[in-house]
Amino acid sequence: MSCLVELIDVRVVRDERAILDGVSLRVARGEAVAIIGRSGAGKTTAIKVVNGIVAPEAGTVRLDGQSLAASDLVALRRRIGYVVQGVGLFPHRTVAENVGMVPRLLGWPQARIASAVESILDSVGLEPAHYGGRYPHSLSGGEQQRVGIARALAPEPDVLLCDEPFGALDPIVRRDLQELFVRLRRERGTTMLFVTHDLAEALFVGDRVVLIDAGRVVADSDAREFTSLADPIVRRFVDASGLGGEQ
Amino acid sequence: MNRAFALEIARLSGEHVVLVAVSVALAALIAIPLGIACTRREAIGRPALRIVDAIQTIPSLALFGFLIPLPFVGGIGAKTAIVALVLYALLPILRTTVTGIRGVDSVVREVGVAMGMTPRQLLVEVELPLAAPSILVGIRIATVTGIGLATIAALIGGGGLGTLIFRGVAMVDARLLLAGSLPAALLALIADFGISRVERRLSAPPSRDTRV
Amino acid sequence: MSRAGVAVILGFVVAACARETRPVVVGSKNFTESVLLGELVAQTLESAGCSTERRLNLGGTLVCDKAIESGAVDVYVEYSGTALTAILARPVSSDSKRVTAIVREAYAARGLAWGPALGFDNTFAMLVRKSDSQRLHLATIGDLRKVALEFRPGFGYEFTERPDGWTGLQRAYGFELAQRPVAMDLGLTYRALAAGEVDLIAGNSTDGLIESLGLVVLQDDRAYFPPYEAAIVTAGAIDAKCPGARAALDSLAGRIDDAAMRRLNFEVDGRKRDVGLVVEEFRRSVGTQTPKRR
Repeated sequence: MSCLVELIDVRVVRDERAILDGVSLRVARGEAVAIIGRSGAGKTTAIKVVNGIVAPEAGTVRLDGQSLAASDLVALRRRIGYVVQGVGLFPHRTVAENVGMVPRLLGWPQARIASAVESILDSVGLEPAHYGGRYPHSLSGGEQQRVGIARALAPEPDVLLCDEPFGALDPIVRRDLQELFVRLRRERGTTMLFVTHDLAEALFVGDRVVLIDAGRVVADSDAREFTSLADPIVRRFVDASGLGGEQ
Repeated sequence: MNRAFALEIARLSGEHVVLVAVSVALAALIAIPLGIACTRREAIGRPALRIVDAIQTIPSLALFGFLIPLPFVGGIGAKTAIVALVLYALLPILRTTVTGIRGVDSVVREVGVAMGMTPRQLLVEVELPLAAPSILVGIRIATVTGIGLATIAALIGGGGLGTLIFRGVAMVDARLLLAGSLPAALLALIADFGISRVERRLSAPPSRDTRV
Repeated sequence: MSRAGVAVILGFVVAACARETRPVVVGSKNFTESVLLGELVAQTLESAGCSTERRLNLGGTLVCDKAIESGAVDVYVEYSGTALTAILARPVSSDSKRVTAIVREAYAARGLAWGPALGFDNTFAMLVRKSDSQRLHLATIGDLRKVALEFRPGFGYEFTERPDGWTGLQRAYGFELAQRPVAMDLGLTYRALAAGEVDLIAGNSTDGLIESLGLVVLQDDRAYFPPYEAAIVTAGAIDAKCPGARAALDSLAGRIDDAAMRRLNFEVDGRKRDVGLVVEEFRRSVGTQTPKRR
């Protein structure tokens, strides 16, 4: 498998504090990597360097072999889906307009946008005829995040970046969305980096799990082996999640 | 009230509306781009806001005193009055533009950037539409206060309802004072009501959203 | 000791007692010229040995009139035209001698003395730029007929609207300017004239700006404007408070002409100088003494 996303010794400093302190990470095409860590560990920053929202002080970020520093960030970002906890739907746009935004920026013809929007809304379980013309504020939290996922997937991105997308949802809705999400991603084979502080969610959505602590990669392993790692920080995470008992 | 007097009130009300409409429109053309620039660069924002604040404190008579000898923008008549009214209308529009743009949800803005919007697209597609209700508040304040303020046009022969008011003051004639102030108050109410409606349409749930 | 000597000594004692207990109260209205004249009256009284109390900036005409009528003020400077129309509510007249006679008589009936007149007339003045006046030979209001087609007048609202303002003036002189006057703020008309935006304005004959902006007053040779001659008004009580007061005030009669008043106004309004200093300087220049220092 070729390497699609590559972070090499990335260092990010804010207010004289190292948020990322030499992080290296390689994500193969089609792979799903879950990044876990405590609050403030640097996991969100780790995905924000991938779409250039955060520029690293040192190190290299490559997408598909090309360095971000030498890329047209605007064009590059249109190939990267972005799903965040706050969803960030445009409140003045309808559901269909939100979902069709990137295809429109990409200059797709109207008909292609319309059919893409319709099919992706259908895939995330929102009846296009019913939801397409509605505005975000009239939707429930779960429905809003479904739209968020649809919006990220509509332009058929190479990479999907997710930052705690289900963090604010109740457990039942969250479970439904996790299942939907994993299914959609597998069907499409989209490469993904998924940030969460919930180990169970990480194990569920990720093929691989990376633990970041204090700006450094502490563990990086296959999801099936993660809970049996001996690293003390991993152990603490596993014990706190109540998942250690299965061993 | 005789017919000639009614016609004169109507004519002066018309002049008044033109004074306010032209000056608020010009002020918006200056203040909205300036407000956008203020949110982009602090080096523009701070001095610009300070200068516009300072303009607000200049009494209209003093301002006209400065303007009369100036070429192009100065002299006497409606043109100079409009220049003064534009200067006074800058503050509310500039302030609300800055507040409106700064008030855009940071998550929404970040998602816009992350999906590959250029700064210009972000501005046109996201920031301005979301700041529009706030900017309209500024335009409404500028318009309503402008209708009161536009009476100063009569200080330099610029016409408008102030003509009746100053004539009434000079002649100690309450009838003239009322003939000038009542239409002005009425215009202010109409403007307030009209622009409020547009504001509500922009900020409230659009009616389309219940359509299935 | 002669009887006369006793009388003089007694007189001094009485005067001294009066000075200790009751100063002469000097009033003025709330604009520069009136304050300047109040200060002039006060300094003149002081140099004559009177003790004074300044109540300057008293508000408008009616406040000053009520104050002197009730005895709260002993002396202030009033204008004949104002006294005639605003205080006595008599019809306007352009005959300055008659106005003074009417006012003096009516004031005497109220127990007040009108006069002496200071020598200037703060009336309306038709003003043009000095350059125009020289180039077009404009000296009197009647000369305006020469520029009836091209001159653009700009007046305050009062002068524009009142029948005894612009309309009456044109009728009295028998000419009519082709352009209607621009009605605007009175204070701004000076700037508009100086900037060449208008060519003729109606100002005050003693305004300090006339000199500083290089303007010329057109002579009102048909006496269209009513006289506003400044005169010192005194209440009877002033004699008891300071016996030398009247003689001292009489020495001011005719001392200030229009041009002198304009200069004084300009010193204060234009140069922002202290009223007390400006008046001291003026008194020195016309030869009255500087006040005694206490």
